[in-house]
Amino acid sequence: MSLALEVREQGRGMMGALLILGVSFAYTTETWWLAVEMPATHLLALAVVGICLIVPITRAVGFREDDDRSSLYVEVAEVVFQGFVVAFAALALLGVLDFADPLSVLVRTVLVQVVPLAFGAALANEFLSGGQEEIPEASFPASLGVFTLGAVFLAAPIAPTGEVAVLAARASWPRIGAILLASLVVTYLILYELEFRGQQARLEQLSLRRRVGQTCMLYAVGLAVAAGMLLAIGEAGAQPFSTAVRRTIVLGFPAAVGASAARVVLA
Amino acid sequence: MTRTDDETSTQGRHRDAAEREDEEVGEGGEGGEGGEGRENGEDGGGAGTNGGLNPDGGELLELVIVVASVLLIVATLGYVGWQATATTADGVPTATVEAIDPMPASDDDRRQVTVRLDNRNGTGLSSVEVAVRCGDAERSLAFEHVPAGGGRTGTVVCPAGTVPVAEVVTWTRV
Repeated sequence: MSLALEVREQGRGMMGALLILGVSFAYTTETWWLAVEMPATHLLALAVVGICLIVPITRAVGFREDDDRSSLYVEVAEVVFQGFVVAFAALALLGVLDFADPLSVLVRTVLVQVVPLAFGAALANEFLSGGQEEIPEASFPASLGVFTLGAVFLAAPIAPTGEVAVLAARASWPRIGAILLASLVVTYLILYELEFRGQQARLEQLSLRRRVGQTCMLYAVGLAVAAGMLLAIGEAGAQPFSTAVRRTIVLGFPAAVGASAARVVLA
Repeated sequence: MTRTDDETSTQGRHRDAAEREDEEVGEGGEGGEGGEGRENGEDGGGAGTNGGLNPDGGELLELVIVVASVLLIVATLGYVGWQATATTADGVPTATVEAIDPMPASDDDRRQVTVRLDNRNGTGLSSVEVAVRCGDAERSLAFEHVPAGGGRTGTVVCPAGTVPVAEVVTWTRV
């Protein structure tokens, strides 16, 4: 297997982990507390049992295509690795991980998230890989509806929670900027690089400039959905403008991931 | 079919699709339904895989929306960058008395004191304690998750005839 293909498949597993379960877990305060409050033995048992449960799923699914399947143990190790990487990256991006904390706390914080994220990685190939039957792509006006639907689907359960306000309050402005840029990069990777379902159709006749334009359009829809939701629940209107912008960008991340997922899953 | 080591999965699917297309054409020629199958394929390609373009005005509208999206993102990034440079990382949060109002009950001569906490730091504050001195009496306010560059308000009740003064006692950065 070429290096590029290997990187692409690992990346697809990681983004699949983020799409399927990662965002919901990363935006749940209780999972952060679990890392501190849960006894070490309990946490270890949770990880071991969870990873054991991944085994049958990985046996049936795997994140590789059938003709390129590694041994079962390699696949399990890889989805767990992907879960670790995504958990670490997402929590670091959102400022949940405090690198001034002891190493044990950092490891525990990531470990809590690993099992669900590894499940997401294992399921990514089943539902989202490019090996699936290609689906017709919605044309331009309809695609806006698809983006909106996906953004609402993933961001709506998160918008009313306190996590958005907490993450926005904790983040510095450079981190807010990093979240915005990461949202754009993740969106582009999901749509055009990691060979999720329908990628071939999305790539046809699209220059790099148009791909970037489509990515910006999708992210703008995610931002608009995030802002609309925060306004609808009264979170944005009552706050200073700068606070509303911070919260919108924080909520815009899951909204953009949801919009990308809708493009991959629906049309 | 098999795939060579040098072939990416995309290339593999291209070849798969080409082979399937050849098979469909071949079957159509033998069975007499190839024309219909071919038309369906063309419809799917024309309507579904054109990158989201409609012929009449759709492309222009899409271009307008893409440009607006890029401008929105650039403006948002610019705002974030401006905020990042305008706010300092080592500023001290300040507390001020924003308003002094009478109590709702007419026979209560105490005063409701609204205190505003401002955080001009570039980072948020996980907790802040504010003391409000009303003459000899002292009240305390606790705030949590104060955003960077943002603020919070709280209200205490002070005895009548006192002049309230608010002061930040402790704070914890995130």
